[in-house]
Amino acid sequence: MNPDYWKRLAAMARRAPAVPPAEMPFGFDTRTVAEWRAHAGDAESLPWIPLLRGALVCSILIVALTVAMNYRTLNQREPTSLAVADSAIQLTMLP
Amino acid sequence: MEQTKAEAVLDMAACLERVRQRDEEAARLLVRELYPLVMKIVRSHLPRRMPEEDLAQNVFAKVFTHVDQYSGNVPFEHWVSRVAVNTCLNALRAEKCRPELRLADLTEDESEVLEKIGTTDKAPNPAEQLAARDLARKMLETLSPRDRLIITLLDLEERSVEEIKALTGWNASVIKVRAFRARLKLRKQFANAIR
Repeated sequence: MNPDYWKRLAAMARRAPAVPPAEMPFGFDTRTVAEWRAHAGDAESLPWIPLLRGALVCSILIVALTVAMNYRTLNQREPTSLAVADSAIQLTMLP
Repeated sequence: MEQTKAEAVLDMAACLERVRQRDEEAARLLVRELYPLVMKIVRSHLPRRMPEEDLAQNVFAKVFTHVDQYSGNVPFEHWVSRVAVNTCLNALRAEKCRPELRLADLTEDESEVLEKIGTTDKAPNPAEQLAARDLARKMLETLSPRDRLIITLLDLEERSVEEIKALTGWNASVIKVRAFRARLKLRKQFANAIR
């Protein structure tokens, strides 16, 4: 295998006649500017998006913090609740 | 001459200022001024099934959207070139599959060039040069988008590593390593195609 094949091909390709400079198609500038204007309009019509995003992140953080701080309490089974349930069952079962 | 150059720079600066204030006429002027530069980059790094005009329009859309981020440290054309290269790279990345080079897919001229490269050192005629360019593009399509970009800039456009670094923002050693690996892949492609 000749290791210089790619080098040779690239050298040949470089010698190819240059592509004529691109001429702008009719209306290209108008289309491009119109697209820009349309997207700029989108961005301007949604000024609350960054604010909403920030509020969402804050609320998620608050919920996560609240859950973390109250995890033990939430996880603990109330000791009295079982006793109340037991006595309720006993009362219903007893004649 | 120097005065004309200075005026052109001044015009560009004034035009940019107007574009920042959402002046559409200034934006149109900018498109007309930068179209050849953008199109040259787009043509060099065009994905297979994407019209060049669409990609050029994407480049201008990005330029206008991010024009406030242009700090003025480099000429505006350099900044636009960088935006164009990155837009092309993203378009190339969006191509899901990269074809393998097969002898059956080559045109008659391309097959002849392939044979000629392997057998003779004769200077190619203009038709062969064109076929060589097409064949080189087909081979580059088999590479990953980054490798394709680097090899196109290095081997077909004869840009320096420093220029590529400025255009892409990549590290010089990354460019060199990628170029080395990409050339190995191309040699492998040649071996497969000639076999």
